[in-house]
Formats: sequence, structure tokens, C-alpha cells
Amino acid sequence: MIPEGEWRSRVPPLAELLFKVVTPARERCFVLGDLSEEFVRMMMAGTSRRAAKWWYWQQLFGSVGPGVRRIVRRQRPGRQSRKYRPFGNCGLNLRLAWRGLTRRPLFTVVAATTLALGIGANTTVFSIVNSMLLHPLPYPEPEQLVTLNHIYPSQDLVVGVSPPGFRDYRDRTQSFESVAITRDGSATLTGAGEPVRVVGSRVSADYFRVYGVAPALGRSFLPEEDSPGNQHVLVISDGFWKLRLGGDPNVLDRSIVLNDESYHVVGVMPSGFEDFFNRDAEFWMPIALSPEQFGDDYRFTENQESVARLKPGITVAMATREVGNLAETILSELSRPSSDWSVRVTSLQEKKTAGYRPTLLVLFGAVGFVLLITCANVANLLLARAIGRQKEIAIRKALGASRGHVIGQLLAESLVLSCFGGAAALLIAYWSTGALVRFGPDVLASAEIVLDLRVLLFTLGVALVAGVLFGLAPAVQGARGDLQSTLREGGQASRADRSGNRLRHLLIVGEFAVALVLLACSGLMIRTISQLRQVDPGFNPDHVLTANILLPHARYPDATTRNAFYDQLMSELSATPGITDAATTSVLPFSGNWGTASFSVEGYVPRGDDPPIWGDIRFASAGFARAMQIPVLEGRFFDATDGPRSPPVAVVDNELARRFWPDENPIGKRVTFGDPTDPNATWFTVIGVVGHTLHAGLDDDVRIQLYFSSRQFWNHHATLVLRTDADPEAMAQTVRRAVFSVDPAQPIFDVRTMENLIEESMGNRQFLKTLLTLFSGLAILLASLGVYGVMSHTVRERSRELGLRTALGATRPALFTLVMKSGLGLAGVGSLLGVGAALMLTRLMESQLFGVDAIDPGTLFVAAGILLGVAGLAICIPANRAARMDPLENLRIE
Amino acid sequence: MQKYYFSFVFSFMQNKNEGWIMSKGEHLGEFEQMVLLALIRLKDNAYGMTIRQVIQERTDRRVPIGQVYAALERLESKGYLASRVAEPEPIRGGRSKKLYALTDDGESALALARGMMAKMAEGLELGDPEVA
Repeated sequence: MIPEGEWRSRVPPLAELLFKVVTPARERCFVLGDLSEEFVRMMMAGTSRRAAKWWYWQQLFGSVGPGVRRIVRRQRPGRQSRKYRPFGNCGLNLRLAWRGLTRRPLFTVVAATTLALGIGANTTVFSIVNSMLLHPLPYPEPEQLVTLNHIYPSQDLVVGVSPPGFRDYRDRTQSFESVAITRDGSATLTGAGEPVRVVGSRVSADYFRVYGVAPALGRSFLPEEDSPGNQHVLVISDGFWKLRLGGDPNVLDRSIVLNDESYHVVGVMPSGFEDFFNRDAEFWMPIALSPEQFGDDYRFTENQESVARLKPGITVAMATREVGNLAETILSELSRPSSDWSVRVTSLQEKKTAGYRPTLLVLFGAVGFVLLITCANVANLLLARAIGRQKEIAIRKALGASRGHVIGQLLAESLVLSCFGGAAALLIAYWSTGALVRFGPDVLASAEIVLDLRVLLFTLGVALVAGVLFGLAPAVQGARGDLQSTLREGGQASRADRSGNRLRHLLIVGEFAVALVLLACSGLMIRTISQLRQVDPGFNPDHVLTANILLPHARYPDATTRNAFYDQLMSELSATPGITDAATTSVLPFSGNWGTASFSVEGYVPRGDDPPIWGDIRFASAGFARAMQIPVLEGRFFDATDGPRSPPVAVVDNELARRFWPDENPIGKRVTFGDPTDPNATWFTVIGVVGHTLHAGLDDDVRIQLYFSSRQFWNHHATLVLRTDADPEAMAQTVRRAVFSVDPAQPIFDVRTMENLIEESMGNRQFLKTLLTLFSGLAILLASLGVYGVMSHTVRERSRELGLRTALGATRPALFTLVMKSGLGLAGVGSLLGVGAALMLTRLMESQLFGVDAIDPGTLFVAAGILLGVAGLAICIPANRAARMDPLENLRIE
Repeated sequence: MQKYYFSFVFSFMQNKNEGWIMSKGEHLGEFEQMVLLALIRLKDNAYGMTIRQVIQERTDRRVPIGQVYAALERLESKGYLASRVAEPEPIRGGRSKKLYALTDDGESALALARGMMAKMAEGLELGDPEVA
């Protein structure tokens, strides 16, 4: 026999679920218990299962009517007790709210649109913050991943690690599970149509193991492949495999020609794998450092990026301590002073977000302010509506509604409103994030900004908080109204009216205060950008086209072949119509590339505590100063005579000359990269002094610069600098043709105008400026609409008084001035408070400013002027209406 | 509004003069009478399902459980019956039952309703009452 418990479990589940819905909660368990008892009794008595189930369903059908009637009857207002149950009345309140809002579509649309703008702006900024700051890195246990950097504290210099450093961190520490290094390895791909430059990296053997990602096909590098001579193997990206090799299933048998050398494919990374240090990398090859490179001579050749995985349980702080101690040991082994060199451990997540965290946090704060203004504005609208609905509320209260009931109902209205706003905000966020990705800085395009669950929850949260924020004050205000006086006073302003007005005025003052802070912030950013634009970069970026060339080692193994290529290219380009000057440099200002080195100046002995001399190094061709229009202040720049066989020469910038030879002629002075005490050291004689040029950005710190002749230094990579007399962008194809005419297998890449590069260097600030301007524009608009609404309401309310004034002889201009004064008074007080707030808050964005103080009286003055001007325009309309009122009409209304 | 007001005053006056005459909303309907009679019959074992069973057995009327509970709630709110939640049954997963009992007011109301019906039927030839 089937036990009773099992019969119980055979109750039709759907019918049981529906029973739960139609039965009031307080007796649900009894009803369901009764039903299952009877069901079991029937089954045990031999009733067929089908019949028992049918009986159960019949019970349900018969109970739906009585159940629903009871639920509805309980919620009917007339039957409510005076005790307010905040959640018991939820359904009813929401129904009433829906009805109330749909009855006044204009009000609903205006309020919901205002909210949608405020919440939408917040959702947009949050979705950026979400994907750029909050998303974890796409690797297993990403919190364990760190990067190591060498730092020179006195010069605020953070660089990569050197090969010996890499070996020490890998072999002489306990904190790391594995350590790897990487550097750019982009190369020219040939053998598949036109030669193209492909972005790739050189990596140490453990590179993929550190990330915790294995190739989807094949394998990663073996330790023995990471050594000179054995490194002709390649791991390729999923994109390379599918797009360039057509997804060839036999890819692991294929060889690929890069920089004229053949590489065997050993692995294909899974789709979606992203190299943290080289997002666009399509292939990886072993870095294959030679034993010499691990020697102490390379101890400070710090040009490798590093990635390491911490052992479980080891924190970044613990690793930092261990590596710091190791750095001191290394320095003592090298017998060098320990004051100005150390090693820093940073989590990869922090490294990823460090660049734009301040920008995003400023934006997040600003957009929060926009939400405050939005809430104040909608609260104002609701207050105006609550004042208009005092009669209705009074009647509700007379019929027995408690204060809780009224507050609950009004709050429900604001919550429904904010849900409308939230839904529309999602649409706005969807469009605006799309627009930002398209028109914003490049980093946004690569951040994969999506509206995910977290963004949806954020929007829901903001909508609910906003709903309570803007709904609470009007709800309490509305519920507070004095019953008798409201019903008695008829059309006249009641006490609740007056206190409601006070609240509305307070909200307007608040709106203007917040709007002024936003306006001040955007004003400071506008001034920052305009100050930056006025900075002289030290050269003339107008009409300059730049392009990059990477000569493959196989085809250009030495200085002779390389110089021959460039000589021929330069003469080809110089003969091209439209190009007035052509030159090359190893490192171009504003390109994002940089090269620094320490060197010694003849006759200059640093004091004990002084850091070694560091500076920017550029290997430039003859004509670089002319092409860039960098002024030659003394001596000369390089020319054709400064070849590999002529004496080594250097050109310095005026900063270097001022620092080391303040009262002397720099020409003929000497510098060296080697040990100055070594009789075999190569000394470079200074032949000229040029003006200092900015390098990393328009707000860059001044760092001394040294130029060497590109014909005396071997370098694979060079940037072409071409001054044109026509539109530089239109010359790109001409340049490409000129390079092909010299070497048909040589591509050029990253073809950009100099102006473009400079503009991009302001990317973060431009973005911040644009969004802050947008937000402050929105804030002004909302605040003006707010003050317009309040003044219109005031004029309507005071129509009798205005009529009396006119009857007693007040002129139209006097009435106009009266209204203007009271409106501008509110805006003025708000702006004044805003100035106070701005003095405290603008300091938070100090790191984003340039050439302007965070407390800038001029900006504040202009911001207040703009705000009051726009407010004045908004108040003009009700003021004008007041002035044109017919006094007889006004007095008759009463 | 006005109408209810009068009706309330009227029934209040009647109450004062005649002791226990009830207002319109407090009369017992046919089904409510059946429920109260089932309570008397079931004594200490009156809960939703047993009440439903008694009504069905004696009148052959199919009664959904929801209707029984709706009537029980109505009667309880009028003060004609009282409820208590019984201890859970001493078996695994045993459930609690809500047991109902007639109050004095309920007994009076039932007597009045039955008296009124009897008075209405008094002297009429209606044939034997048969349950269909």
C-alpha cells in the first residue's frame, strides 16, 4: 500500500499553486492542509487518482470566486481600518497611483521625462564605471595577478623590469607562483598577399601559465623554446587563425613568415583571450633573451612589462615587502646607493583602472548632482500637484484615511513615476552608451560597455531611491494639511499651501546651488582645455603627417642597409609634390612611445644624494628639427655628414644646456652612456642646442632631451615626420606609395596627423569636459524649469494680491519687477550657497585641472552670471504674465 | 450616505427597544445557517474540511472549500463563532488545524433565523421538506 505521505505528494502541483494565489495568506496553510487531507482520504479509500485530481481542481474552480471576492473586499477603501498597513495596501495604492497618473498624462510625461534624463545620465555613467572599474579581469582568479615595476622615486619615474630583475623575481622570491615578461613584438606579415604589420608580443615561456589560460588548440611555449635560436615558434590568437588563416584545421602544421623569418605555429589561444599588455596582439613568440641579457650590464635596461601570479594566501602587500627587501639586497650586491631605486608590486586590476579612475569618479559625483536636481524638480512638480489636490486629500481623510494611508498613496505615485522614469532611463542609457563608445575616447570603445544585470539593478535602485527621495517630502506635506481649514478656506491659500510653498522655495534654492557647482566644474574643465590649447608644444604641429615603419631584421641586418633604405626614402619623399620636409625619429612626441636613458655629462659629478642624470632620448635624422619646426637655438642640427663613420655627435635641448652649462657655451661639450671613468667610453660631442619640446602631453613635466643622429644608432622602428603644404591627411596614400617604391614588402602603420595626436593626448580631459558641460547644461535647464514652475504657481496664487496692487496704482513694470525680484532672489540665494559648495567641492577635481586653480573666482563669477541669466529668462515669462493680468478679472475670481 | 445613516439609527433604536433585533447585515443566510448547524453537529472536530463534508453528506450539495472558509470568516467577524489553532498532529509533517466553535451570539442568531423561518412557514401547507 502506498503510504499516506506519498499520496500527499501526488496533489496536483499547479492546482495547489493556484490555490495559494486565491486563498488569503492567513488561512492558506489550513485550506491546503484540509484539501490534501481529503485528497489522501479519497485515494486511500480507493478513488481513482484521476477522479481525486479532478475533485481537487473542482475545489479550486469553486473557490476562486469566494477567494478573490474576499481579497478585493479587504482592499476596498471603505472597509479599511484606520490603522495603516504599509504593505497590506500596496496593491491598492499602486492601482490608485496608476489611475491618478494616467488621468493627468501631461504631468506624468513631464515628470517621467525629467526623471528619465536624471536616472539615464546616472545609468550611463554607471555602466562606464561598471565595465571599466568594477568588472574583474577575464582570467581565472584575477585578484592573484600582479605586475612588477621598477621605480625611481625622486624622479617620479615608473618603468618596466630588466631581464636580470625578471630572473631574480622568478627565482629568488617565495611570493609568486610564476612570473613572466613581455614586450611588443609587432612584425610584418608576408606571404599572404600585401605585406601587413601585425600586432604581436614577445613573451617568456610561462606567460600564458601566469594568466591561467591554456591554448584552445596545441600548446604554449616550452622552456627550451625561450632561448636564442629556438624561438621560431608562434602561438596565434583565435582572430589570427580564423581571419588570416581561414580557420585552417591543420594550422598546427603551418608556418608563418614574420619579418622575413619563418615561424611554426604551435598553439591557438581561445577566442576572447586578451593580452593585458597588448590588447590587439594577434600572435606571441618567445622573447628568447640571451645569457648576456641576464647579466648585470642589463640590470637597468628596464623595458619589459611583467606579470606574476601570487601564491594562494599571499597579498600584494606581502609580495611588495618581499620584493622590496630583495631590491635592497640586489643594490647592496651591486654596491649602489639604495636611495633612488626600488620595485613596486601592483595588482593588474589596479593598473587597469588607475588611468581613468579619477576622471570616472568626478563624473560619477557630477551625475549624482544631476540626479539630486532631477529629484528636487520632480518633488516640486509633485508638491504643486499635492497643493492642488488638498481638497481631494482632505475628503479622503474625512472619510477615514489615516495620515499613513495618504502618505502611502502619494509615495506609491512617486514610485510608479520613478519606475516609468527608470524604464525610459534604460533606453536613454542604451543610446547614450552607444554614442559614447562611438564618439568618446578610444578607451571606451575597448571597454565593452554593456547594460548588464548590475547596471539594471543599479537603475532599479536609483529609481526606487529617487522615488522615495522626491516623493517623501510632497507626501508628508500633502498628508499634513489641516482638514477643516482646507475644506473651509475654499480657493484661498491654506496654511499647508504656505508651508508647501516654503518647501518648494527651499528645493529651488537647492537646485540652483547644485547647478552652480556643476557649472563651476564644467567651467574649470573648459578653462583647463583652453589653457592646454594655448600651451606651446615646442614645435609646430600644423600640417604634419606622421607614419611608422618597422624594418625587419632579416632584410635590414645592419646600419648600411638601413641607412640606404632611409636615404632613398627621404629623397623619394622630398621629391614628392606637397611634402616640404621629411625626417625620421625613433620616438615621436605625443605618440605614446617614449625612450629614456641615464647618461653622464663630462665634468659633472653628481653629489652623493643626487639621482643619476635621466633624460628623453631620440634618434633623429637630419631635417627633423626643420620638419617639426623646432627652433635651433645654437649650433646646428644633424646633417648628411653625421654618418656612421663620422665622430659621434649629439644635440641637446635648452633645458639640458641650462641645467648643466648655465653660463657656458654648450657646443663642444660631451656626454656618454658609458662609464665616464672608462677610457674606452664613447663620448658624443654636442653640436647644437634646440628648443625643448613637450612629449607625453601638454601638461607634461619638463624633462631634459637628448638627440642622436639616427645614422649613428641602429633602430628597427622609426616614425616618419612629414611637413606638407596641403591637407596632411590627404597625403597618406602618397607616403605609402613612396615607401612601396623603395621596398614593395615594407608596410607603414599608424598614419596620423600631429594635430590629431595632440588632441588625443587630451582625451580624458576632453571627455570629462564634454560630459560635465552636458550635465551642467541639463542642470541649468532643470533648475530654470523648476524656478519657472514655482514662479508661475506663485503668480497664479497671488493673482488676487496682484489685482489689488494694480487697483491701488501699481504699474505694470512694478508688478514685473516684483515677480522678477522674488524669483531671482531664490536663484541668487541658491547660487550663493552653490558658490560656497563649489569652493569646497571643486578641489576634488584638482588632478584634472591645468593652468587654473580649483578655486577660481573668475569661473565662479561667470558660472553664477550664466545661471542667474538663464533663471532671469525663465522667470521673465511668469513675471510678464503677472504684469499683463487684468485686475478686474483677478478680483472677480474671488 | 444618508440612507445608511438612517438605517443605522433605525436598527439601533430597534435594538434599544426590543433587545436583540439585528440590523440587515447581521441576519444569517442559508449557507451560514448550514455552517453553524454543522459546527453543532461536529462538536470538537469542526474545521474546514469536516464542515464541508457534513454539509455535502447531509444536503448532497457540492461545496467548494473556499466557500466554507469565506463563510467561516464572515461568521467569525460577526462574532457568531470563535476559532483556535489546534496543536499539530503527532505524525511526521503533521499539520495544524483551525478548529471552530459556536459562540452564544451565534447560537442566538441561529435560533432567531430558524424562528423567523418557522414563523414565515407557520400555517402554510408546503408539503414535506425533502432534500433533493
